[in-house]
Amino acid sequence: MAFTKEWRLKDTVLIGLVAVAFAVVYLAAVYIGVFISTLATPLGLAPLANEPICGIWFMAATFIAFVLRKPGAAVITNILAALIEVFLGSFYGPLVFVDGLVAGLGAELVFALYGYKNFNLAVMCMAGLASAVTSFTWELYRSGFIELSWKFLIIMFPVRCVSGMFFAGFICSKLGNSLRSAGLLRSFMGNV
Amino acid sequence: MERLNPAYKFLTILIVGIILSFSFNIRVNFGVFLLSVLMTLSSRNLEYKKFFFWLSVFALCALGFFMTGLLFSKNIDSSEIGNWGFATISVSSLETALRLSSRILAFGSLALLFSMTTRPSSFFHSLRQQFKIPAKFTYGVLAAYGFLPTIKNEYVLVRAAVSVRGVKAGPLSPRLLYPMLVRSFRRAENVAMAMESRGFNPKAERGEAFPVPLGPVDILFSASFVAAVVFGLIFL
Repeated sequence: MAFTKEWRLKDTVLIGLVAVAFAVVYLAAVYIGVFISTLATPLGLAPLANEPICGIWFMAATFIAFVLRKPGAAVITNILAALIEVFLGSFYGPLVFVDGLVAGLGAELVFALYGYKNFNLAVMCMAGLASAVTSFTWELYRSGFIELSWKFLIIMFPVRCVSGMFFAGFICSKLGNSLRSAGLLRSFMGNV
Repeated sequence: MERLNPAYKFLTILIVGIILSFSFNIRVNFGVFLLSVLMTLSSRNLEYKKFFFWLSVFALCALGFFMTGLLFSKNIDSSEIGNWGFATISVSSLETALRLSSRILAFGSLALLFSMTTRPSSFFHSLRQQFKIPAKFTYGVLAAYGFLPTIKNEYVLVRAAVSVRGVKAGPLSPRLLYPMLVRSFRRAENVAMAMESRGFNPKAERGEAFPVPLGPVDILFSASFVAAVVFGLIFL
């Protein structure tokens, strides 16, 4: 296994490129989210509309961690993807820096628990779940969810968890595995 | 605004945003919103179309949060002022609604204040020069950021290619992401190799081709913006 702890230039270019690719997808997700939540506005369910696609915002972190398997990869990439999103026009502007940090830390924690060695489907799903939990805790304050009735939150939270597990866990590990079997990750991961 | 130091502007807005996250003051939220919109409008070379487009998106979202706050607030008291379908609206739920929605407006305008008046390249240069982020990261990301228009095109192209083959794929489908990622991997390797073969050495002492100035104006801006918000929270 040729995992080096050190960051090579091509790793940093890669996280930049992956962050940009995901940022384009994020932007599409933002448009969809705004569209759905506008439809849901009269019922007062607008914030809920964003929850099912919430996991998309954690994808860059788990995906890069899968590819590079380095400490810090998940956090750094999620912050970067968030920064690039700012320039594409994101909601919370520089505050997404904190969003990216918090969600990335959740995923990072799970990968660290497994010593950056185990990246199977279950671990990836747990990382997505952890991102959902940390980001939700932060959003209780940032978006002021803490002001809402607990009945609303009790629907919101599981939806976000499932979304995190599906997008950041299932989809990312599927993407990663098919890229690996295509032989594309060889120079990044070593011969695994 | 466009002449302020990007890294310090970023830090200032981040601090203001974090302060607002932990406070629930409607007047301050609206104050920050007005202030940021005015500051953005006062900068030169503003893309008005883009600015007002995003502003209206934020307004839509604020409306969404307003309705949610109105109907699903945890603070419900007896001062009923109206009905909306299944829910009764009280004075305190109206307050919750205003708190949530004014906050979206404040954050949105802060976001625009940064993104509409800052060039990405000078932001990354500034991060390296003022905050000492390693050159390996800033230049790596700058190189990648240069591909943004290409990657946007690719997204459109891949979507078209997929639909031409009669494969159904939604805008967020992994089918679209996969070819984009394949190209990203190839490109990362090529770009890194190209940079290294041109003598890019992240550890070397560097001169500055694009010095990003940092002056007393930046400190003044940071200090006065944060101070204004703190004063607002205490006195309003």
